[in-house]
This record gives sequence, C-alpha cells and structure tokens, in this order.
Amino acid sequence: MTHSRFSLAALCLGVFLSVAAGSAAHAAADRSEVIERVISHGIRPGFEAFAGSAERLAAATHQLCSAPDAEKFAATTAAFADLIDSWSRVEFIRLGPLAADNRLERVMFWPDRRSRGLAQVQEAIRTGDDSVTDPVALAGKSVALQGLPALDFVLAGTGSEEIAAGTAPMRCAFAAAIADNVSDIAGQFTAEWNDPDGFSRLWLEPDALNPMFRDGDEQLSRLLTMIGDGIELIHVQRLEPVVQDSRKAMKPKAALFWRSGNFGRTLGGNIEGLESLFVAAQLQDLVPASDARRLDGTLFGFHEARAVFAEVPGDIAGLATDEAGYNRLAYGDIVLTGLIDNFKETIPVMFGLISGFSTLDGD
Amino acid sequence: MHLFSPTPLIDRRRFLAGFGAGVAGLLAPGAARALERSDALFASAYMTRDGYGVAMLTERGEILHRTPLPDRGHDVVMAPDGSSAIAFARRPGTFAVKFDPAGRTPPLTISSPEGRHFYGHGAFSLGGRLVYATENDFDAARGMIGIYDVADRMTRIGEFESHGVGPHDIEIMPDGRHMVIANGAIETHPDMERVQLNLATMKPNIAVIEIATGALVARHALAPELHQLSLRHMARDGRGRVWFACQNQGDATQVHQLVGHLSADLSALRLIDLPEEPLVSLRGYVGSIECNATSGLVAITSPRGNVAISFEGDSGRIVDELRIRNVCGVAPHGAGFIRSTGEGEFAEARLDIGFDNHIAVARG
Repeated sequence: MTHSRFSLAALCLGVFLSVAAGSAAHAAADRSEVIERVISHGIRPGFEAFAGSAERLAAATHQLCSAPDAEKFAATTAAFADLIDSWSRVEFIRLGPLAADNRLERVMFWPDRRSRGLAQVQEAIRTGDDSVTDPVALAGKSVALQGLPALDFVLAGTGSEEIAAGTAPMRCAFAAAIADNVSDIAGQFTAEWNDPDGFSRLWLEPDALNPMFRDGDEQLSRLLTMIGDGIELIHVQRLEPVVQDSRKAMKPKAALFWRSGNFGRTLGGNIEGLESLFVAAQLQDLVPASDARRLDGTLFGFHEARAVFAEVPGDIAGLATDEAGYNRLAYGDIVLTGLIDNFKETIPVMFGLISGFSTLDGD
Repeated sequence: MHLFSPTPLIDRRRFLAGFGAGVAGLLAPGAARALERSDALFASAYMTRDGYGVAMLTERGEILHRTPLPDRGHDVVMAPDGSSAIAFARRPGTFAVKFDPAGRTPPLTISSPEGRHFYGHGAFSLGGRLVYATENDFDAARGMIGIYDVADRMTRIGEFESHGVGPHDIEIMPDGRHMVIANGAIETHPDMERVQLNLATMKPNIAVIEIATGALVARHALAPELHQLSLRHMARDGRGRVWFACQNQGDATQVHQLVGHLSADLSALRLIDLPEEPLVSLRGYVGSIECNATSGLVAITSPRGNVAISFEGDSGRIVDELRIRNVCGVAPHGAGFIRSTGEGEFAEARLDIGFDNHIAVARG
C-alpha cells in the first residue's frame, strides 16, 4: 500500500497556489496564534499528563518491589497501561524536546528489527545484571534497555509472573529503574515545553536566523507535517506490519506492546493525541466556509479511526481467527490513508503550502 | 554525482554519436527542433498526473523524450558515450530502468535481487560496460554495491560491501580504480517503506573502495557528535575533490555545517564553514550538490528551506542565494547551474510535471 504524496488535485492547483503563496506573509500573525493554541491546549497538557502517569507508574513499581504481591502487580500493570496511553498521545510531537538528546529513542526504541533490543533486555534479566536496576546507570546504557518496549517485556514477557510471586527482585528493580528513567525524561519534556524561552519560543517567533522557522508558512507547515507524519507512521510502522495483506498472513507479534495487550490502547492514544493537536489549532477559523467543511471532514476520519482502535482486543492474536475483527482493523488502516492524504495534500494545499511533486520528504 | 567520465562533461560530437546520427528524425517535430537548437541535454525523473517517468530535456526545459517508470524514480546516470541511461528507483524501491535517451529501443526494466533494494543512485564504470548500484541487504542491514553488465541485459554479475549502512551516492574516480561511496547510515526495510530504523545509532561514513577487489581503502567519518548528519550526495570538482552534502537526522534546533569535501588524494575529509544565515536557511537538509568545473562553483539546494545556494569552491564565498519553492534538482550549465523543482520548474520553464531530486547531465 504505497502512499503517494502527489495528486491530480495538487498538480492542477499548482499554478494557482504558487501565485497565492504570497498570502503566507499576511497570515504570519494568524499562524503564530495557531501554534500558541496548539502548544497551550495540545502539547503542554499532553506532556504534563505523560509526566504524571510516569510518576504514578514509578510509585506503583517501587511499592510492588518493596512487598510484591498480585494486587500490587496488577496496579503496576494498570499504571503501565495508563503510561502507554499518555505517551501515545504525545509520541509523534517529534520536534524540540522530544527530538533532543535521543530522548525519543530512550523512551521508545521501536521498531526493534532483528530483536536486538529485546535480546539486551532478556540478557540483562538472565544474567541478573544489577547495573540496570540503578536508574542513573540505566540512563547511560543502550537506549533499548531504557524505555517502554523494554518495560513491556519486563512486566509482561516470559517469566514476568515471578515478579508478583516475589521471586524476581532484580527484574522488579529493573522495572522500577525503567519507570524512574522514563519519569525523569518526562520531567525534562514538561520543563522544556513550559519554558517560555525554550523551543516554544522558536516555534512562535519566526525569524531569518531561527533554525527551524523563517515565517508563518514554516510554522504551520511543521504542524501539518508533524500530524501527517504521525498518522503515516501509525499506518506504515504500526499497522501494516501486523495487518499484512490478509488475515492468514497477519503477524500478531509484530504488534507494539502485544505482550501487555496494549496494542489497541497505543493506537487509540496516537490518534487522540494527533486529533487534539488538530482541534487545538482551530484551522477552520482561517479558511473559507467550504474549506472549513472539508476540515470538519478530517475530524470524521479521526473519529472513525478511534472507534476502530477502541475495539482492538488485548489478545491481538485472536484476530487471526476473527474475520470480522480483522476486517475492522484493516478498515482502520484504510481510514488512516485518507487522513494521510488530508494532512499531506489537501490541507497544505488549502494554505498554499505545497503544490505538486514534493521532494520534501527526504532523500 | 553525474560526472563519471574522465572529462567532466561529454562533448557535443561524442554525444551526438551516441545519441545517434539522424536521431532528430525519430523525435516528434517539436522535439527535433528543440534538439537542433540546444546546447545541452539533461535527464530527470518526474511525475505527472498519469504516473512516473524520466525525461530528457534541453537547457530551456523542452522535453525531448519521456520514458515511463513503474514507480517513483530518483537519480539517472548516463553512459559515457551517451548511448544509454539508467534510472534508479527511489529508496527503498526495487527497480532500475535502462533506456535509450532518444527512445530508439524499448526500455529494459530490472529488479533488485531477493533481499535487496536500491537506494536511488548508481554510476557507470569509466568504459561504460558496467554499472554500480547502491543497494541494501535489508535483513542484514548491510550496504552493498551491486554490479551490473550493461551490455548483457543488465545482468547482475556481482556485488561487494559498501562498508557502511545505507549507501546512497557513488562517485567513480578518474583513475578508474577507486570508487567513493557515501554511506548515509540510514537503515530502511521494504516492510516499513521509508521509515528510518536506526536514527539513534547512525554512523555515516564516506568509504573509498578499490573497484577491482571491493577492498576498503579508507573510511572517513565526521566527528562523533555529528553522527546524525547523514552523508548523502556527492559531486566531483575540477580539482578532483569530492564534495559531499549532509542531511541532519537529529535535533533540528541544532545548526551544523552540512557541506564539505574529500581531498583529491582521498585521504582527508573536512566540512567547510558556510555563513550562519544561508546555513540556517538550509533547514539542516541539502537535497542535491553539484560542481561546475568551468567556473569552480559549487551549488547546493534545499527543498526544505526552499533555497538554492552557489559558492566558490576554493574560497567558500557565497555567489548567490536564491529563494525557490521546493527546489532540489541542480546541474552545471555554462559557468553556472540550472535547477528544477517539485512544482514543475526546469531552468526558466514551467512544466505540468513535478521533478524529482536530481538532474543528470547528458550533454554539457
């Protein structure tokens, strides 16, 4: 399912939009207001929620490790599910604080092709490597040991039941160290996004020497690209490797967080997070009524995707024998392709940001 | 990147011999007249509402001939005698199309072998018998150089390691014995299309290879803290230096120098210092780099920054800095350069097609 960033509509509109591109200048102030709304109502609350859930998971894990039992283990796994949800809402805000210092990879080393990261986690547990139980030391180790995919195996992979039984103290301490590490990184996100002189200022104040934003076009373009890239990553990196071309060919173990049964949760969180940015932007206020209606249509796509992902069972492998469930998930993937078109073609064209064959996506 | 013969550009007489005496008679009347009036010819991958292809164009942007491609193409390389050309699929595509620039014979499409995909670039051997293609052994995440026999229906006759991950551009040195490879270090897999799989662990390099044996002669890297600068595209200047251009895959708020060169003796790599404002305007991304051997100028483009910059190769002095939306393709012409955009501009012309990242010089 190759996605093309070029459409007949974009081509036909090309000449017109190049003429109209000059409209970008007068819209600079509007666009700073858009970004202000996105930061204030979408990004900052999202990262604060992530920091809060990381803190709660760290607390739950430490309580579990101090006196392991089934109840505390259940509380920890529930807190982990909440953390996955809050992370999934912000993980595609891949600029500024999230893109610095390998933080994205430290929280989310994924995809883990050839299972190199998983092998490191398993090896640390197998050998009882105490160095991974110290959050400070862990922060200096391989990114594959530090974040949520590692925690998914520690809390839900083979042998995790020993944590609740109290027979795996090193494994529990490893989980606590990961939770502490993620909580520390989450605190860095909130501090930097809340810093009025930090990255948000770069995005809000375009300038010739600003390393990322020269003008209103670049401000808005980055927002749309970020949302579009996020949806495309869900489509290409998260869903297609699982869904494949048919139910018989599907690969449940390619699903992110399949061990803890949080695949549907992360997909839903992803969509809700990206939708929240789009809603906060209030782009409808900047375009004619006919275009505003098309933007409202984008909301329908978000709603559809959310509805589909809310139905994904914890045991994703069950879809291999559930034709209706599999088809529903495959439908969700199709919905995503429509959203990708919206954010990579229709909406940018609406704002004069792209016209024709884009070379922007890198090579 | 397109200068793969001992002389940087193919002279007119030699090219016309390759392009074929009487070729004008095979072209549409308008194209034949355009060919007669043209001083230079170029090739570029493109897309229209009907699909993908590769076009031969004059310096005025007149299309002489089109060859369809099965999917999006990337770079085009020309045989030294001008008799054939090869367009490579954009990464991680699996096709390459050998075509006659004049359209006298049907194109030949080949596929990368099982377990490999192309990275979009290649180079002819100096004699034109072989073509080298940058490829990915994607299950082993190992960069490879595939070797193809042009005369034998592009049969793949061998391969060797690129000595890095994600090989992108290739330059064949004038001695015919050495190849320079930009290992961009970005790992991809066809199962996840263009998703970059290894940004945290990137280690790009420029490798010098002995062509006859595939042996590594030297491997050059930037400082460790610059490991997320993907070394991507190259071009050889009139002094034999190999210029390279980078794309920043790391923190976009950090401004790094993006352009440098490998010394003519292939022993030393260095970044040059571009002034702050034009450097910032590149947005951490250079899409193409080309050299003009006549004037000593170097040109870089950034479709992310919507900017095209030319500077003196010896002094680094900026000669011009042009704001052009979605500009990426660039090629030497006269003492300067022509450029193309994703929005259909080619030199001074505006066409109803979008051009891909690169322009190959077919005849200078």
